[in-house]
Amino acid sequence: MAVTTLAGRLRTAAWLGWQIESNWADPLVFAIYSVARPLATALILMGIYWAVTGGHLQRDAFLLFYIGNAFHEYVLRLVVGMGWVVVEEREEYETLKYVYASPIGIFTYLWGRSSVKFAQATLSVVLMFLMGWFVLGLRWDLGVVRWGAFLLAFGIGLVAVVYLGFLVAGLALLLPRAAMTMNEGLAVALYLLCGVIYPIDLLPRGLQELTLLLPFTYWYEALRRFLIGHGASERLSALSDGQLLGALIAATLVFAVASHFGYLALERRARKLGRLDQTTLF
Amino acid sequence: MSDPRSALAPAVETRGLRRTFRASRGGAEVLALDGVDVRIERGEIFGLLGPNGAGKTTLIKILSTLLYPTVGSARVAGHDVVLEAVEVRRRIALVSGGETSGYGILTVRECLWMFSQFYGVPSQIAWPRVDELIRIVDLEEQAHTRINRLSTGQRQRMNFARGFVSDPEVMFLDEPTLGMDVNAARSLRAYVLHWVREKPGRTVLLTTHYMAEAEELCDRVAIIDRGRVLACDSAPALRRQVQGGQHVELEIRTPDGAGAVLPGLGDIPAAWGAPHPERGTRTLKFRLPPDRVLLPVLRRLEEQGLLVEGVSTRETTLEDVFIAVVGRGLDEPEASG
Ligand SMILES: Nc1ncnc2c1ncn2[C@@H]1O[C@H](COP(=O)(O)OP(=O)(O)O)[C@@H](O)[C@H]1O
Ligand SMILES: [Mg+2]
Repeated sequence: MAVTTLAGRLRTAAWLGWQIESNWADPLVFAIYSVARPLATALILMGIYWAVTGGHLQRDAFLLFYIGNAFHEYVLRLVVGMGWVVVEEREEYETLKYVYASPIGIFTYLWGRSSVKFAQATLSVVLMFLMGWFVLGLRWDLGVVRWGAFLLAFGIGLVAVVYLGFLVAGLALLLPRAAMTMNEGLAVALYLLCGVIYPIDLLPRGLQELTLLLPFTYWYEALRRFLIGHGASERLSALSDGQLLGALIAATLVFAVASHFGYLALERRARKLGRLDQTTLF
Repeated sequence: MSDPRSALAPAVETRGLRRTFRASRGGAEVLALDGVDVRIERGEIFGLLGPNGAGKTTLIKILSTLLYPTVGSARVAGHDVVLEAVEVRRRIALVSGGETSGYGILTVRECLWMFSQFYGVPSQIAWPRVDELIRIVDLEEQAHTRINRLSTGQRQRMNFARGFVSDPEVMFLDEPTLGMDVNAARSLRAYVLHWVREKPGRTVLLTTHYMAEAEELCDRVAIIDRGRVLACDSAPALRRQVQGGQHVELEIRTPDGAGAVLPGLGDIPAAWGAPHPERGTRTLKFRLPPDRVLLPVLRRLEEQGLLVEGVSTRETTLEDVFIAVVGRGLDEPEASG
């Protein structure tokens, strides 16, 4: 009973997400957006990388950041998307209060609503890999891929991403205007902090310690290690595979618990201030 | 699911509910609810009657777990609205009238079905219920129309139907017929009455600033003004409170047709009724206590330069109760200062 109810609610929220998304997205626009945007980022980065390394483009180093950049799509889509759900539901559809007053539970609702974002990000990632492989010549020996460990790390990291989304959703309840820019800012901060486009070893020492508290750092490293055989950071290469996975799991757990309570605190504040049904933007 | 503690508890019970809002830009803090104690039994249609800004919506928001009280507590179906919000949400539904919310891309039927799924209503129950509600709010022709193609009135009716898809124990209707055309409002009121009587234990808390709606639907009515419940009883009992004397309506010629300034009648509270611009007059209503006569009142008006063109007396209505209790008419702005 409880499980089928939960499944039904998730499915319904997911269905709504797809309806809303497929409404504005003309398939062609959708495809261009899904491919062109991440690809353009990759190419710009390639240019920067080229310039920084004085034209000695090391294929291996480029591959490392290409992979990081591809998986960063999940952070961009899911986190920004979840913050946006809150803003859009409250300000545009004016339905957020009815969702809140219903027993669906905001976590279930946001999980469901963001499934379409997950699908979009996955599409982007797959396309980027195909493009990298066939067009940019970013190939490696597929024999080194450890699928089990990769999928495990991928799944755990996604949990961390979704919990970051909850936190952003909570902020969006309180600060709708700021949340819009903050969402994107957060994604950029992770981009720079967690070793997406350069190894964390390049960060100043204090920042390195900070970044080692975040699950995303281990996530990007683990994805690379299990896909192409090695990661990007010297410091993290000291960890065995088991230690790396262990660190990812532990950091994700801590982060998820902190985000969960962080979200609840933000929601309580929003209910205190009467923000659940305020329309302030449109 | 059927928790005996919850089933026995009153539908709504509030204790010393107080809610303030922070001032906007240096203004004074707004006191939206000022110590509200109400108890609503299962099976009742309970009306909250009050002018704009009385605090009706604030109370509904607190009871539907959207807003915290500043002080005091509230229980819905036996569960605390702050501490047990999840339990409360399983048992309630909320409809705000005068609102055109909705996911524009969904059709009416899809939207109603979706909300039934948020509440976990099994499909074999949900679909027939959705279709029945669509018939009741007269949207059969629009069942497969996207919400963003609906007129404002149609959206309001859909929103009303949405509230009923989960078959809640306690239904909160916040001015459900606000701005609706007369026929639609009448049929929705009839449905509310039918819905409550159909199954024992169903409860409705309805806010309104239409006297007739409160009179027609509600088993009990609370008169609320400036965040305080000033009277609470059945409509006949409330009327008895102000009985005695006569209800007088004078048709008064107003010099500029406006008559915004209420003439002084000594200690008798009076209120303006509807203006009649075609005749250049306006109705002035008051209750004449049993120990008083009308003539001095008319003279007093004459002294103030007002010409009385017609006099009629009639039976007590809830509006008279309202004037007696609150000290002014329902549609009148508060005197400033
Ligand atoms: N979010 C808010 N911020 C500031 N003041 C508010 C807010 N919500 C309501 N109020 C004020 O509280 C009072 C009661 O409002 P409300 O409950 O909406 O009254 P009603 O529904 O009876 O018209 C009004 O003076 C209103 O301006
Ligand atoms: Mg209101």
